[in-house]
Amino acid sequence: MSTYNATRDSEQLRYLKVDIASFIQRYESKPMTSGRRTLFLFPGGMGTQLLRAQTPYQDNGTPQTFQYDNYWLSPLTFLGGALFLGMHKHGNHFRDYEDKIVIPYGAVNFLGLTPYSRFTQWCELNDLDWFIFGWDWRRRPEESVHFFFHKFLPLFRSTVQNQCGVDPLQDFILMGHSFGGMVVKLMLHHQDQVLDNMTRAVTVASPFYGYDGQIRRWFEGEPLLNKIGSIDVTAQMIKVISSLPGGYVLPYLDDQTFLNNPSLQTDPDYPLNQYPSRDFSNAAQDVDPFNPGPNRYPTHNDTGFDVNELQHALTVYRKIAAAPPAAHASKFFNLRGIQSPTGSTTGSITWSALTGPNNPHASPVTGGPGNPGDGTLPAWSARLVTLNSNQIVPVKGNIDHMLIMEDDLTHAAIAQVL
Amino acid sequence: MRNRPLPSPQPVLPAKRAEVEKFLKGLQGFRAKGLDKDVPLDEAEVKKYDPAGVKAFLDNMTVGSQQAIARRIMMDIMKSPTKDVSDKSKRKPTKKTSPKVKSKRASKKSKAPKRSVVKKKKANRRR
Repeated sequence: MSTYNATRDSEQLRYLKVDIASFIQRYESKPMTSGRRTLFLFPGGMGTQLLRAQTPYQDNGTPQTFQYDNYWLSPLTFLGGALFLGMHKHGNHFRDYEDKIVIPYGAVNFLGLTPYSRFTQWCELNDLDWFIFGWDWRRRPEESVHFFFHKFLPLFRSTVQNQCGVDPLQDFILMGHSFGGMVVKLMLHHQDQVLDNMTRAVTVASPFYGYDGQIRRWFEGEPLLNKIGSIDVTAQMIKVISSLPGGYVLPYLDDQTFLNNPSLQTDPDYPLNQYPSRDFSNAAQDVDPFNPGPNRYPTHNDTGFDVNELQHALTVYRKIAAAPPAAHASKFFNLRGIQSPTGSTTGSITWSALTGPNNPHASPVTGGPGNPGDGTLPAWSARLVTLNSNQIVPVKGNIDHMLIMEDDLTHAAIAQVL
Repeated sequence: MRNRPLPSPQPVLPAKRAEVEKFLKGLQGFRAKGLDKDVPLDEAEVKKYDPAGVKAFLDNMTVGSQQAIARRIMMDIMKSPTKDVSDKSKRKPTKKTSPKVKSKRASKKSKAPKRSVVKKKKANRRR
């Protein structure tokens, strides 16, 4: 009997089969030498294209397939399409708005630009057999981990083995950009024998200790999507953002993680000198985004903000921020970007209590002074502080968070750790 | 691993935020006529935008300017919603790659998944 979740998985696999076929084509176009390495790239949050079914899923247990429209990222996104990417709880799971299944598919491609085309060219040039694994950044990240290990990898391995006669997982690399790096980190905690063949896990510009952007979206929406011409849809946009469980692991680190990691303050290059989220009128008071006390977030009735999801996300976040399992620790590397000149990145916030319903045009959250970082993430957040310093590589120069994978400087840093 | 850097130039520089605003204003001029600020948005209505108008609008841009716009949008969509740090984009004038080159935007409908195969040219160059 088919279910919503099973149908969504099978639809995602249906599309992934096309990418597996492309992988095989690339694979066979090169000499069949030994020592080949497969590199799985997990795009950043918002970096994966999202396709939305044209018709709703029918709860009648029958197998179903759908036709899809590109809702992220295409002109439709800016014409109101983004407002239909919300999710809602259905029992213990989340479903897509109006039960129209949304599946991730490859990297975003807007007006001919993707954030990973130069990176994949670089992989080609450097004999890495790449595969971009699109994942749904709106959903709980652990669901993507489960899908990858239990649905995708068995299919990928058997298909490539059948057609090429080789095991594409005999030596493989997991690489994640931004939020995708947090998914990669979660994967290291997954008990699966296939990880014995993983020779490197690399994150690029991943927010291990969060960033201000996610907190502010819950109050302010997304400026590029808050208007459709003269129509102000900020309130609807905030509701969509608040309905997405994926984002709940992204605010600044919780108080306990800060206290458990005093080395955050002693980083010789980019220290986090004090807790990054503080009360607006009392700077001595921390405001832990995972447990901020009363009147900090809008009520569920107001914007749909879900404190239960925040608590669930905290357990997942703590796993992401924990040290990697010993078996994989030496294979784990973090690259972090630092723009020059430095000081371009918000590295802290002050936070007022709400005195009534959220007013998106008068946010209670204010950004602090500029810090070194990649324009989106402060440098103190973009590596796991428990990692040995020789496993943390800075990428310094004229880089930017979203397009850091396209830069020659990043490619050189990746080569250094592979 | 030894790094073999790409011989191709770095991508185009991002457009200025004012250019993105102008672009979005132009694009959103083709939104569905039935959209109204007083009525909750209806998905079927949203999808009734003018695709021919959007196509013509995009076709009127050069590939270079489209990519500069896309680059700025992708950069800014990840940043904090409110711009605390000043717009430091220093965009140099770029050469127009070709006038009125057809848009490369992804097609709206994807009935069957199709991906382009890897170009042989790349593989040859690699070797």
